[in-house]
Amino acid sequence: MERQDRLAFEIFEHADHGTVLVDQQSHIQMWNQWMVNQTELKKSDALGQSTGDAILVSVFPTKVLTAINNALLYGRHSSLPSVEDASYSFDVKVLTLDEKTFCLVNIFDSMSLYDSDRKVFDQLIHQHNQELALTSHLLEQISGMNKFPLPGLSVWQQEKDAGNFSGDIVLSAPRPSGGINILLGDFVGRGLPAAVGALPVAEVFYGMTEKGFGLSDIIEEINQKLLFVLPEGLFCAACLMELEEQGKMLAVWNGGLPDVLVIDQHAKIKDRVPSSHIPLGIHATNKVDLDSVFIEVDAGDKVVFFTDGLMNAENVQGEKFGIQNMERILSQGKTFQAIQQSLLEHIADTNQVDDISLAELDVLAMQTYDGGTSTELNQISLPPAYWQAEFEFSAQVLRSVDLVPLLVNVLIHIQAPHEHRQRIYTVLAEIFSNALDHGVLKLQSSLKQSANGFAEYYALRAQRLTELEDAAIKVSLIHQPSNDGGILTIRVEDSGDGFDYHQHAKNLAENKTLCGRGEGLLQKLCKHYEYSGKGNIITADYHWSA
Amino acid sequence: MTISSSTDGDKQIINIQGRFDFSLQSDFRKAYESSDSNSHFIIDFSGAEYLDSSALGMLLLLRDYAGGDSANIDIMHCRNEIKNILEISNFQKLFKIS
Repeated sequence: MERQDRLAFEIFEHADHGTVLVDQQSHIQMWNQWMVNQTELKKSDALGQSTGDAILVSVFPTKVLTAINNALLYGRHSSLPSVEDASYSFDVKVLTLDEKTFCLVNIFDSMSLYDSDRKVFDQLIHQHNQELALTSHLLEQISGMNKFPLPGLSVWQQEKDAGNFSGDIVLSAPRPSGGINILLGDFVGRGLPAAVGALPVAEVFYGMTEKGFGLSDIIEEINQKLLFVLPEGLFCAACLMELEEQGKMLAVWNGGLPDVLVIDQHAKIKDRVPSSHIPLGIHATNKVDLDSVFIEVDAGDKVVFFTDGLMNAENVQGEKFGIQNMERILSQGKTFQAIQQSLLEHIADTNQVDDISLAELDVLAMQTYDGGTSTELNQISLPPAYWQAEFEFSAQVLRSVDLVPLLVNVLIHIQAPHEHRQRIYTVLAEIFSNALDHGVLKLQSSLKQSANGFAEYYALRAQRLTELEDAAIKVSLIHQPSNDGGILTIRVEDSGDGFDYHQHAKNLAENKTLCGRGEGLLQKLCKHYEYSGKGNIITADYHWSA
Repeated sequence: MTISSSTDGDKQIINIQGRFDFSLQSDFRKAYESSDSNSHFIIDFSGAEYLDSSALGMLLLLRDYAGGDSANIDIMHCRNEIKNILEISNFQKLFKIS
């Protein structure tokens, strides 16, 4: 042998890591001394053996044998780090020599590090474990914030590294007067850096949903929080949606995720909401576009949404799952489980590249959902007392501020036990929206009954609201103690023309007209309510007992 | 996967080949930090095959370095795949993309 070749050979033999060469037929062609020492398999025993033979199957973990196959068949380079303290890491790549393909496997042992490196290594492992524990704890806390899992929401998440946070979160919660909010978020990165962003997002989402805030306010607040918590370069692609209480109208805000799809009962994609906003945590909040898309939905519709890991999921040949494939499967009317199955089959035997999250909302299940009641009992510090507050809101305020959650927040903080929060919110929301929608904006609720009526109603409402000029709504809240608790009197007066409430009462009594859902709620929740003035004033009494 | 950069007057051209992911983080930063933040940055994606979300983050860091809203950055020669990834995050609202 030439001197150069001999030297090269000696270097190969004396390397402080393992080197194995496998040929196209999966036979071992080279096996260095390190391998002999570590496995106790002599060269003569190893050379010529096939990687499928029992003798080698006991030496190499399955994932390494798979990686060798993938290298020989598809040219894939795999890097398999050691997963526990004190095991081996493998580097598997393709080598071409004289037009023949070989697979080169390098094996490294963490135990062969020098002492000083070992200390650093141990410290890093320790820090890593601490971070894993912290991340896991944060995730548990976030998961625990979901007090009312929704029956109509199916979620599937496939993490590439079980045991570490994938960076994807799905949050859902009922709204106080009915309806639900949902958020799907995809944080850049994974593990602790992603969990650190997920926690404030969950806090804002659950806190504000419970108080009845709408999507715009929630998005604004989440963006603000993420700008604060996340450094430049990290952000969260998200879609938020709100299904209103009757389950007929879906509002969707999509900033950075693949199209949100609405599938009808015939498995046709009837609507889609592509990403039209910049992800959260990037733009200054006053620049964030808060507009949602409104979609009319029916019982039998399903809303399907997912993170980009799903479309990018690669099979063994490196082909992506893809959006066309996804839509094809959906148009076949497959169940949620069947879609999961397709995905699992697609990514079988590969090292997953990205985390996958898939969710489906069943509209019918949500239309029949009863909602969750907050059972949180906070200590009332103030015994029932007399107080009153009066507000007057001009058109300018009505145009831009979502007033009901703010008003409820104010009065709950002065008085009223928290278990009544939801009901008080419902009453105030009903009365105020009547004053705004019918009194001031002059919308007819009969519009909602017609085909496409919901979408038209909300579109018209949005338009008239932005154009609102001379108008005002006065709200007065009076609270007085009673024998066993308190009485909250809500009076709302709008600057509109009112309506013939005497005739309306007569019609109701003679069954000539159906009691609208709103009136039914007021009857159920309030001790008493009445119209006055031109029909532009409504006064309602809500009794609560401690 | 390599980054090369060149200067042409006040233009700083940064060329990305292959997969643009987290492994290019420090190289990318070095490529733009050597220029004045007022420079006109041109990111040439003609050889870029893929962007992941950390690449999007790196573009944001460049934008921040170059003055945020007043940054002068052109992202050019994007393949369809790259364009799609940028558009799903609506980055055309933050960068000039062609």
